[in-house]
Amino acid sequence: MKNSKKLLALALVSSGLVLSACGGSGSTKGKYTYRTYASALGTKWDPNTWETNADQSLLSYLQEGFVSMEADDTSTGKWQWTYELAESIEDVSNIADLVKYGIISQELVDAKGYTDEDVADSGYVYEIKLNKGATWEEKKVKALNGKTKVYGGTEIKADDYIESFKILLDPARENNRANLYWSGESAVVGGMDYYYQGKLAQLDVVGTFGEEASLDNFNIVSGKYTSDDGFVYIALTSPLAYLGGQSLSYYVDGYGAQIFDMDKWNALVAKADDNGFIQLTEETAAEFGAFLVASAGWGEDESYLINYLYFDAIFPEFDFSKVGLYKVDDYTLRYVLAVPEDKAYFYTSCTSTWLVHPELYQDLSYEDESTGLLLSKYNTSAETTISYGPYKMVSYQDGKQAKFTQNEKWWRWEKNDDGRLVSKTHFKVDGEYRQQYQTTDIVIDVLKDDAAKLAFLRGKLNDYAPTPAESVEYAASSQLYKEDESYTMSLFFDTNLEDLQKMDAAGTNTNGVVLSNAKFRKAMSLAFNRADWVKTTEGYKPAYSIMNNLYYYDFYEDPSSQYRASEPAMKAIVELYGVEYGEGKQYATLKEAYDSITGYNLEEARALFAEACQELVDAGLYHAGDEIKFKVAWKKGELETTDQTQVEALNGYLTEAMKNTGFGKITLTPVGNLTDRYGDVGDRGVYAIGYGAWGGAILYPFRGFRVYMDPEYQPPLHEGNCWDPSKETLTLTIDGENYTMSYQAWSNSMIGNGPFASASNEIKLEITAQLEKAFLELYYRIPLAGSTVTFLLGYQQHYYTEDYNIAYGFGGFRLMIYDYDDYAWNQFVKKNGGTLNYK
Amino acid sequence: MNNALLHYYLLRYRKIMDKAKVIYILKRIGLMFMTLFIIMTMCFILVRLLPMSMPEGASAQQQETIQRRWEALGYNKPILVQYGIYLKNIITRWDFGTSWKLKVLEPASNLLLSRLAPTVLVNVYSLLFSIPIGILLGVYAAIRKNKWQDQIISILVMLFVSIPSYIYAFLMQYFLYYKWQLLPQVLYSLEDGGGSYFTFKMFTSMITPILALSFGEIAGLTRFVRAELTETLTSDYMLLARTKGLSRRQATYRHALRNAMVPVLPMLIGDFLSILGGSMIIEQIFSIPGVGQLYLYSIQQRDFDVFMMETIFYTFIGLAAGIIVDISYGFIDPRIRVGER
Repeated sequence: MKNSKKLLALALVSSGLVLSACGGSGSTKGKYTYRTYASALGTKWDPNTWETNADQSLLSYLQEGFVSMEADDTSTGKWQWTYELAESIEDVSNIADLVKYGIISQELVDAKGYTDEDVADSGYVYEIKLNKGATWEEKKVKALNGKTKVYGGTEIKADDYIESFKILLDPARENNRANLYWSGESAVVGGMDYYYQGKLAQLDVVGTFGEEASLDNFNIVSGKYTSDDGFVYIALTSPLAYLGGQSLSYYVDGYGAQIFDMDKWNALVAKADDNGFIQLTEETAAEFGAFLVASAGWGEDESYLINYLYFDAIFPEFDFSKVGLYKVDDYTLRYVLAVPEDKAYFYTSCTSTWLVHPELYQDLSYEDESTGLLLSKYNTSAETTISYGPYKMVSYQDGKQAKFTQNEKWWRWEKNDDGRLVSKTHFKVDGEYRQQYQTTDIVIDVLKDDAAKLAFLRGKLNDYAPTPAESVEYAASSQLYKEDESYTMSLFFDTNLEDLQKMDAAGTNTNGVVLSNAKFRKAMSLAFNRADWVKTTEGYKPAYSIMNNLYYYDFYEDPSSQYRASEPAMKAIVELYGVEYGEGKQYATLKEAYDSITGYNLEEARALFAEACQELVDAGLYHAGDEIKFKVAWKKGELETTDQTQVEALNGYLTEAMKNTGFGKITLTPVGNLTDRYGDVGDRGVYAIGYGAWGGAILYPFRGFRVYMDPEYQPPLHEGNCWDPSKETLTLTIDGENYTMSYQAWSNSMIGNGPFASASNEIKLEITAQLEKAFLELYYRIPLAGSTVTFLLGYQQHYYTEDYNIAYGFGGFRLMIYDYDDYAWNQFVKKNGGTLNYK
Repeated sequence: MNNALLHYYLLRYRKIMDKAKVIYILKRIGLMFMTLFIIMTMCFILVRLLPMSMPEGASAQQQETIQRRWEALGYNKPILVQYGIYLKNIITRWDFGTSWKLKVLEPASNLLLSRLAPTVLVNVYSLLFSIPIGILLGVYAAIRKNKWQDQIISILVMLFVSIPSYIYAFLMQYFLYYKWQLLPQVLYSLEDGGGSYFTFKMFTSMITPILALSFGEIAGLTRFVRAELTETLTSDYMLLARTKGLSRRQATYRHALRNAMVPVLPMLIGDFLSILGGSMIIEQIFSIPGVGQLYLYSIQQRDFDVFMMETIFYTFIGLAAGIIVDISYGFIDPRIRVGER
């Protein structure tokens, strides 16, 4: 009895201690903590090597860009560019810089008498004036040599950017984010040469030797041509200086048999490797020469062979002084682009920077034994993280939690009367300077969704992303925010008959060969009742096209320039679904016809299924009435009930449309936990149907089709086994004239050196819309729904605006407004019994 | 130590560790390493046979860079060559590889070691909590065999044995954290928990996972102890003990319980070893940054070296636990002859 009493007393004391441990801690008045969660934390938020969104999310609190896109007038959705680390960015293209970096030759300038005025605003050279006062966080760090030292606390100057850029492009590091600056539209001149120096690459013979290019530059060993560092190749698909940066295949695909001997070409293609190279031997040289001679319209003979050659070469040493980033003074940088870029697009690339603390980065670098690469521990733990943004990292526990607090060295903080750090925007929003970054602390916890939900309802988390099923329950909540995404969820196919037969034989599908029939696929598209389908689960809107309302063709000049709302884009979709408009037709205007589209036509679907069935039976590919089964590469993650519901609904639509058409029962079965569903349907041919989405390029829809049509840009293409877009051609009528090019060439025609790159927006709209229609008419991909992101925000705070805008979201974290500080919030939660209702 | 005592211990040691036993133990250890090697080889080959996937949405340039990294790491070499390199590094440098996804550039062994503490702690606490309760309930149920107390315990045992631990975990979170607001929902981070896993605050956040892990353990132990003790209580020597004049309590505690503990103790030894393995699901639910969570992440992210490190670790623990349990029978109960035919 005595012992029992002791035990009871101990239990009471313990529970008291437990309860006290669970209570509030210290003063939380005047603190605004944002607590969020993630399924996993980023592991390296090094600007040079980050990989995942989780990495980037940590990085986003620690840095700023040169510029930012912010709200201007939220009542109209007007937005503005704001300068952050930059004070100004101007196009200062001039002859001296262009000559210095080899963009034009001095001879040409002298010969043509070019002056700075001739190249002004050409988009080659941008001057970035840095904001004076931007400062590094001050931090004591133990470097890898064991010495502890204080880093930062100093002003960020031009040298920091130059040294950071050197680190980014350092060939010994092979940083995976380096490509942002040595390739693509924001490529710095010389960046590629610097990055690749000392590495083996294949170089264009004419591009390298110029007028000196000759077969004499190479040796012949046992009938094979060799360079000092390897072999010599005939390049079929690589860009050639001789062709102004285009590849030979570009022209062959574009003009085909009109100009080229396609039999000889195809024989050459068969000999090429994956990179489109054929090793140059006396035999292949003769064969290629014969192709040139036979392609009479091309007007060349075997002596032109040298123009089509590449050779193995180790990139020579390249001094950083030849890379197009240099310091004018301590607060001025000049960035020289390899290819000219419009100011607005250059601004977009300036929303982030490549800045790292150079000294700390170097002091945390070491040579990795297994790879021989020079690597760094920079930004891989709280101890090695240095900030120049509004927050600094205070703790990081792998797989558990990351914490941030205000970086007192951030240059835009001001001290309040009570000593707290506050800041106002340096730009006006709705006519006023607003408080920014009201959040004082940020906590990111690793939590499972179920745990996150309970924590959110107890006021311990500030946001929660409900599952699609839960979103329905919270549909009426004032705290529910919905964001449209640029992704269009679609079914995409492998229609290659041989692949389909193999899959049938392997048991993946049953009678999957039916997918090779285009009418069958079109009927599938018309059978899907998309408006009904999106009701099966939250988070989707019906989609009838590849690009949705988020794509803008002149975003910087005209915030209302939605591609989807343009006449050519609407017309393309209206024609695709066969809706008629005009006098005496069902719909008077194009807009009305477009708005009427549902993509659902049961009658036509049935008729097409019946025709498809007959064709398949006649071709001996299908026996009428036989069951059809497909495994669908559905998801990267685990399948959930909602996935099953969605697929069941699709099965229902197909079953209904296939009644009495000759086809047997059809069943689609989703498959989850896939590593790469695009590759599985694409080049690997494991599944005949995939489900997924592609998005992005929302501010330049004219390049949006490269993902589907340019195997060099996006290998492997999702529908890669359906066709070869580099060979199949398309004739489009532009401005009354017919142009024939491969799909691949069309997808690149409005960017870089493409033939329509500098065309007017009207022409680009016309091309893009016709390309979209032509692609959808192939029925290699059936759009089903656009995705939306839904999340709940706690009552402690709200976003600046409730109207989502593609440029500034809901005002973002920057303009978030708190209705309670942490102390008041705890009181509020207590008053509500410790749990909150958001329904 | 005087000579007589030394002599006594030597004799005792010889008695316990005779030649047959030593050979048996060495044989078992040899077999353990062979099994470990076979499992390692199979896992290595299977995991490397999986297609290496590029991150979704990677541009051609990014893919090229990643490809170059794989090349540098030897991922494009024949699998057996890769395995040879892997084994060589383990044997010559005790290098189990590097994490390339979860904690970039961190040695895989460091990653595992850094996550051992929370796993071991939560599981040790759970065992320390379950063992006395399980034994007490088992003894009580055996003594009260077929009475209502035994019936209730048996029903509860069946219930708790049948329900998987993650169900308790969710119930614990719902009631103790959400409904009654008594305890933290998940394990505190080191930052929130006072900077160490050994603070009282940290301990409070371990209570829910400990409870979730313990229910099944208590039920299992109760059932086992009850069964063993029930059998012992009905044996002839117990009757003899009672007829010699021992009370029921004396007979039970002096004779029955001791004998009943013979099979229970090896079970507990096995449990103690297996706690290193932790509980993957419980770690996920309670956000415990332990080895179980790491194992799951390594599979999800295809962090090959970390996955292999964990596989070797888990396999070794499992095999070692088996050997120790087997051998322990011989030490605990001299009647059991280990290694003799």
